[in-house]
Amino acid sequence: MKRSKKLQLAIMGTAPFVLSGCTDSAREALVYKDVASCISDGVISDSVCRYEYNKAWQNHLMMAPKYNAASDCQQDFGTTCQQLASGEYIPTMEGFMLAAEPGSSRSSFTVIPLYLGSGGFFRTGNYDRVGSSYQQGKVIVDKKATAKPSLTKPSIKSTTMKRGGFGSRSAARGSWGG
Amino acid sequence: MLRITSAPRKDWTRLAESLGFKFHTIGGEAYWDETAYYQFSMKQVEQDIEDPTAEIHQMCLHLVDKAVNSEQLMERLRIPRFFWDYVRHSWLRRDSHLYGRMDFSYDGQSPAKFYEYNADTPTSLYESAFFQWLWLEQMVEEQKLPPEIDQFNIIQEMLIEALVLLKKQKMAGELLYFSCSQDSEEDYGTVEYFRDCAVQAGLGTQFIYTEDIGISPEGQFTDLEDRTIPGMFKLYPWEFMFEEAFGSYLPGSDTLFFEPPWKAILSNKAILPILWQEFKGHPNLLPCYFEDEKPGDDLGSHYVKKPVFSREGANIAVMDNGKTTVNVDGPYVDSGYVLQKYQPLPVFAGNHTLIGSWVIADRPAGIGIREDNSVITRDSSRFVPHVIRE
Repeated sequence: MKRSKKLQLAIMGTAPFVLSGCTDSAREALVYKDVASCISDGVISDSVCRYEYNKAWQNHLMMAPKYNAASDCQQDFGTTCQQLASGEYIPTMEGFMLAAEPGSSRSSFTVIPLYLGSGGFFRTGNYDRVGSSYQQGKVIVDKKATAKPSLTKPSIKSTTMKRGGFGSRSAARGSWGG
Repeated sequence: MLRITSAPRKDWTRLAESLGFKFHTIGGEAYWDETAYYQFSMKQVEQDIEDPTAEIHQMCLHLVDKAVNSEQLMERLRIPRFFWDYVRHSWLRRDSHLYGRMDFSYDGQSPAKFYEYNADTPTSLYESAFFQWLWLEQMVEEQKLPPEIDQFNIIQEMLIEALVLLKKQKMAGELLYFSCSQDSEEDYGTVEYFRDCAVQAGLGTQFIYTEDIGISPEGQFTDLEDRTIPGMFKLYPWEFMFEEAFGSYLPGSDTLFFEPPWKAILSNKAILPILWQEFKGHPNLLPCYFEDEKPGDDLGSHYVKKPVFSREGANIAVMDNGKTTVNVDGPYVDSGYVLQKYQPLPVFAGNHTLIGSWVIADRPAGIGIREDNSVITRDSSRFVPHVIRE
């Protein structure tokens, strides 16, 4: 066969959306197994449920705990582990958690993908327990479980003396394809 | 090689939009066009397109190696002297490259003729790699095409593979930025698609517009939060960056760029006469000369005049016995010209058909076809899918 068997997209096709007016204590969070359970809970709107679920999915692809061996992944998460193109294994996303970002001028959620650990408990990628998969909706969780997981080395904070030094020729043309 | 008319999938525009393909129609004109597809035999794809693509890519790399060690060639390629070492070191370090698209004229019978190499900022990636693939999968699913049908398309798979390698070997957990300039939906779509593949490869990514890039007092490029940029995919031509205000910071910066600086040698049409000089008579090459040198007899009197720096068919003219027969206006007037023997595109049902052959890392990975009403393929062209069928 001269073509790929399976392809997917991770981030394209989800429209950006700015959320407003949500204040929640840092230790309160919303936990759902999927978009449908988020919508039926009625706390946040359908479109926000969908948007946040998509964001969780993107975060999952970037931040899921990675294992070199399938057996190590299964030991922690029991459920089916998937293999990435890189050869590493990650658990399957089984739910998502929304926690309000405190002190943010533009209130928005921190979205954390959830996995199933032993005993049917939801776990974050850092293996913090955040409630049972049988309960959906508002849960009280340890503050550290709502911390945004950091995926990459933070780049070096610098200062900027000038911007706009690239792009001046862009106004003069259409697209680059050729 | 055949052009076969075909019924479009129901609701494909809605599907396209839900999958981030917002430039399926450009300026009210169809760009993605599935009212037809092209059909090739496996032999046509493998022997006539895939193999020459691999070979010409190797020939091009050979010339890069030659050019970085020759002041005369660097001058011919119009790379500003200030950047010679920058380009040279990028090649000697073997900076990874990710993608490029070769354009061929091919009629299914005679050898495919190489027009040029879009090695720095090629577009039409998303539609070639993903949407074309999805079209075939759905056509088979809907039983409009038989299950044994195929397509030359492992572009996305190989791109993700190349990005996985990049992550392991070069990025070491650092963010890869993706940038294009602010005014093109098509460019943005291409960059977001690239970023999508990077996310699937496990890289941490961030988007920034070309115009928003900053410079720190230490001469490092910065993002909108004043953080330094460790790596950047830029859909913005090297020859522009070399000329613009921040260009002078490039050699001193630590940012790893994709495509790498050495690609400036290949995306440049001055490579075409140099390629002809080095590999004269190659069945897939067209005779080509610099405008300011005495052309060989093999050029003939019917040729195409192309600016050294030009995109989307701009400023290209077809000359026949000293007369201009076709002429496309455009902004690229200040870079000198090359003359390439006229090899018209084949015509299928009134359409001029151009084959884009993708190179991912160093391997041929698939093709995408564009049609235009004119002999010169421009940004008004339409993308038409293809299949392989015996």
